[in-house]
Amino acid sequence: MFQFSSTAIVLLMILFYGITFLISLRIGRKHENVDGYMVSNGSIGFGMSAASMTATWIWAASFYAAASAGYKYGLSGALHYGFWGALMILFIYPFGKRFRKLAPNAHTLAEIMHARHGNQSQLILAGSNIIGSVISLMVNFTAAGALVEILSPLSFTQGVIITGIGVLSYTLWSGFRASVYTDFAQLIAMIVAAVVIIPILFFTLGGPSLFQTGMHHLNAEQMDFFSKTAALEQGAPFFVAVLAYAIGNQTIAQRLFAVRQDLIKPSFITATIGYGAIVIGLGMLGLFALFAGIHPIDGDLNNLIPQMAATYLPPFLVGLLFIMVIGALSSTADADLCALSAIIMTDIYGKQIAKNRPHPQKMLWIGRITMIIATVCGIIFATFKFDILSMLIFVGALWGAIVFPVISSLYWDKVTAKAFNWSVLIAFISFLMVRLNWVSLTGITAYLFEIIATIGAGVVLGLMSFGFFGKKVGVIVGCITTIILLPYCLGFLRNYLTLLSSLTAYGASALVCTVITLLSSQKRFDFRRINELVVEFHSLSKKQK
Amino acid sequence: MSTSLLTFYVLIWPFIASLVLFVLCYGLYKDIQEAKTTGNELV
Repeated sequence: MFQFSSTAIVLLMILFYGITFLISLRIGRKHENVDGYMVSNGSIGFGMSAASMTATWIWAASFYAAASAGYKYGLSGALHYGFWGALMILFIYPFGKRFRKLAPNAHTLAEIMHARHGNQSQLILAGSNIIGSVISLMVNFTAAGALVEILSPLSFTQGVIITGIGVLSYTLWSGFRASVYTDFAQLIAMIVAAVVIIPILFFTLGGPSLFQTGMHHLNAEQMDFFSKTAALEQGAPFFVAVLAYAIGNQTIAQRLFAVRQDLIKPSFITATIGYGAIVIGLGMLGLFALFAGIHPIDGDLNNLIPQMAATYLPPFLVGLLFIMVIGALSSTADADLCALSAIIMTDIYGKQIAKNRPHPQKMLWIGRITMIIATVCGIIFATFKFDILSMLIFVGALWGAIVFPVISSLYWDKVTAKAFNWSVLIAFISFLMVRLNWVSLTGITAYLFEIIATIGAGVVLGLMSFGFFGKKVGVIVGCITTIILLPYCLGFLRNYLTLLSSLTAYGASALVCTVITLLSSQKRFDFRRINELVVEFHSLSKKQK
Repeated sequence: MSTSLLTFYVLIWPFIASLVLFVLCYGLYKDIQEAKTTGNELV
């Protein structure tokens, strides 16, 4: 199997990060604006914002997990990864338009929640955002280390450290502005590499004849385009996470607050198509491996893409693939750094410590120091090689518990802080009870959780419909879904713990939030107050002077 | 699925990705034009 020399791999990484750093210098200012550091000028154009959203959402896991799905589940595997991942971008934009309408100058979603419900709700949302971004950062650094280790004599840790320093170098000074600006170049490199490598690998393995000679490697489920196994094991848990990842991820919220308001829809639709095409395309590499009868090194599916590239591609294209993966993980890692710095700057310093009277210059340096600390933490955590998949499932469920409370809080003026906080807490505990087997899923207990989970399925589809078609359609779709699915789910969902626990989080949070809200006699919230409370920090400091 | 249909299925994705590439480049061109007209910065 082909390997680069240590010198070649270091030069490739210096070339990539050096060019990215030079690109970021083009927009660097001696005195950065504190709001620009978090959300740019709030009116980024279509090309830049669509590219940034696509590049941010394509991360290291997109490559490995899509190819793994193609290899494991056959014809429909890559679709069940890439299609639902793409829908995460699509389904957030109607809600994003609402967020922007309520708070045009917001920096984080938690900041809006602070204006709506106060400290506790804000910290719940900010805390879940921080956990998600730290895990994402760690995953991307881990992927970089693994790739460097498999393609060169350098060690895993050396790969992680070079990547961490590289990403920090171009993001530190200008923050979000540098992240968005460099995303465009990184995405172009990614698309060019994908468009070249996928067909070349296909024809190297035999082209169309591969499907005739390799069909015997597939079992009946893998040959079935509508495979039930793929749908239930890969598709359904991912579909359930569509809204959770979209709401819980500050990197998406930041881009929603940065793009020009009238361009949210075209930017996010383009990003949906771009993400889907690239990730499903890369998932096809796993399908090629399955048809060709290739077995991943050490049985680890994450080795599939580097292994195929190193075995079948010339050195130049292996280098191109290396740049593609490094570009994908860097564009997401820099977005995570910006997300973390924005949360610490806005939600911790701006709201909790400075009590809405922040010092802009101090705030800016808090953001930069946050990035440095986050990078060091990401590097250290990456070297521990945690079970990343389990952590991601946990974070997905944590975010699943906040979806209904967050969305309902920004549309329904009766929702109270008490309803928000208790619904998230009870939903998360319910999730843990199922996921960690704290309760025995037999008899009436199993039926109870299956009923809550079925309501959760109704909530998921209801919210998706609500975003596009309004309250009436959302409620009808949610109710019909629950009624139709209930007979099928009873006695069935208990066999799919991941799916049952995720849906339980949705169902429990929606039930508790709705019941507490309806029982509350608190007066209705005036949504106009959010815009009064969420302000640009630099204009605030001018007023104070 | 026939061989030709499978070939179409696996190669359509890089084709769509290349179309998106053109759309994004055109979008960036428009962004730059607008930035010049209004005097605003790209980001």
